[in-house]
Amino acid sequence: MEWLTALLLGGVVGLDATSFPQAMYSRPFVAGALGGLVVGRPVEGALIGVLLEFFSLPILPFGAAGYPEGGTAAVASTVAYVWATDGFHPDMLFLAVSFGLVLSHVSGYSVRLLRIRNGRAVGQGDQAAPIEPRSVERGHLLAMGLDFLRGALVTAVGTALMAICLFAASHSGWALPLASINVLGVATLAMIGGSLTIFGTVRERLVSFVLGAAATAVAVWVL
Amino acid sequence: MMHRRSRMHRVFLRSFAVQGSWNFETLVGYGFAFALLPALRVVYRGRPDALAAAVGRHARLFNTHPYLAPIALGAVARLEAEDTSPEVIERFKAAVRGALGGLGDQLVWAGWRPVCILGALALFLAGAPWWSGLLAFLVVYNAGHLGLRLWAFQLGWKESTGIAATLRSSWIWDAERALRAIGPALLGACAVLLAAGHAPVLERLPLDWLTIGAVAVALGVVAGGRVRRPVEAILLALILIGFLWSGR
Repeated sequence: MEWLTALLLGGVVGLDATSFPQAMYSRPFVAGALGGLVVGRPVEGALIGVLLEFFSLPILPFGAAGYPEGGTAAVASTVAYVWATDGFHPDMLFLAVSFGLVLSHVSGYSVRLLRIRNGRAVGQGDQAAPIEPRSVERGHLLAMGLDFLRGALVTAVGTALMAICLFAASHSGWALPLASINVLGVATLAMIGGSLTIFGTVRERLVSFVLGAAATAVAVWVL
Repeated sequence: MMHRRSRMHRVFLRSFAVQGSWNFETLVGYGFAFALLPALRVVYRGRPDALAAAVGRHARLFNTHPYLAPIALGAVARLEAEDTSPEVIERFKAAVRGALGGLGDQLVWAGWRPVCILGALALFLAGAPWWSGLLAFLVVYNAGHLGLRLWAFQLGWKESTGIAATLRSSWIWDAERALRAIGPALLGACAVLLAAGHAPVLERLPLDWLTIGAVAVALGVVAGGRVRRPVEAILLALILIGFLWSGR
C-alpha cells in the first residue's frame, strides 16, 4: 500500500508542477517531506527535500524554457532512501540526493516529451480553425491526465532504480573517503551562492546577502 | 445575471488549469480556450458554429504567467460579452501576452515564490519541527497565490482593455522591489543556518569544511545558476570515487 501511495503522490506532484493547480506542493522540500510521511520517516524526507530544493531554487521557469523537475525526484529519492536504510545513514543520504539530481533531469525531459505530444495533439499554431468545445475539453483533460501518469511513472521507475542502487551500495559497503554529509553541505552552500542572481545582479544584492548572513550569525551566536 | 456570475466562477476555477495542455505550438493557447469556454457558451448560446469559431480563435498561440492569466481571461470574457469584434480581441491578446508573462515571472517566480521558500527553509535549518516550515510555506504562499489570482480576475473583468494603465500604477512594482530586497537576506541567513547545523540530523560544519563552504558560496555567487552543472558533476564523480575507495 505504501508504494501505491508514493506513486499517487508522484502523480499529484508531477501534475502540480505545471498543469494544475501550481500550489507548489511540487517543490522538492514539500514533496520530499510528504514522501517521507508516506514511508514513515518525514524528517529525513524533509532533509532530502531541503537539499534538493537548494538545487532547484536558481531554476526559473521563464517562457518555454526546459528545466529539471525536482518534486517527483524528491519523492523517489526519499522513498528509495527509506526503503534501503534502517535509520539515518549519511552515505546513503548522499547517494539518494545525488541520484535525485539525475532523476530531476530525466523528469524534466519527460515534461518536454509530453509538451511535444501535446503540441501534436492540440496545437494549431496561428491557424484559427473552428473547434468543437467538447473536443477542447477532452483534449485538455487528457493532457492533464497524461501529466499525472507521467509524474507517477517517473516516480515509480525512479524509486525502483534508486532503491536497487542504494541496496547494492549499502550491501557492498559503499562509502566516501570524505564525510558525505559535509560534502552535501558544501555543495548546498555553492547552490545558495548561485541562487543570489534570482533577485538581481550580484552588485545589487550582495550587501543584502551579507547583512542577512551577518545578522543570522550574530543571532546564532547569542542564542 | 446569476447565470453569468456562476459561469464566471467557472472561468476563474478553470484558470487554475490553464497550463494543463502546455505545448510548444500554442503555449497556453489551448488552455486559455478551455478556461474561457463557460463564458463563451453564454455569449454564443444557440449559435454552435459561432461558438466553435470563437473557441478556434482562442485556442491559438497565447502565453502568459499562469497566476496572471485571470487578468486576460476576465478582460476577454468581458470583451466577448460586449460583442467586441474578433480583430480587436486578438489585438488585445497580442498586446498583453508578453507583458503579463514578464510581470508574473518577475513578481512570482523571481520574487514571491523564492522568498516564501527561503523563509520555510530557514525555519527548517533553524531547527523548527519539520512540518512547521512546510505548513507555513503552503499557507502563506497560497494566500498570496489565491489573492493574486482573485485580484487579477476582478481587474481583468472590471478594466478590460484599460488594464495597462492600472497595472502601470499598481502595487505590484512596490511588492516586486520589496521581495527582491528580502530574498538575498534570507539566502544569507540560510547559508549561516546550514553551516551552524541546527537542523535535524545535520551537524555544525567543522572549521576546515567551513572554509571550503565559504569558497563554495563565493564561487556560486560568481557563477550564478550555472553552478548547478559543475556541482552535480562533482557529486557524480564522488560516487565513482566512492566505488573505487570501497573496493580497495
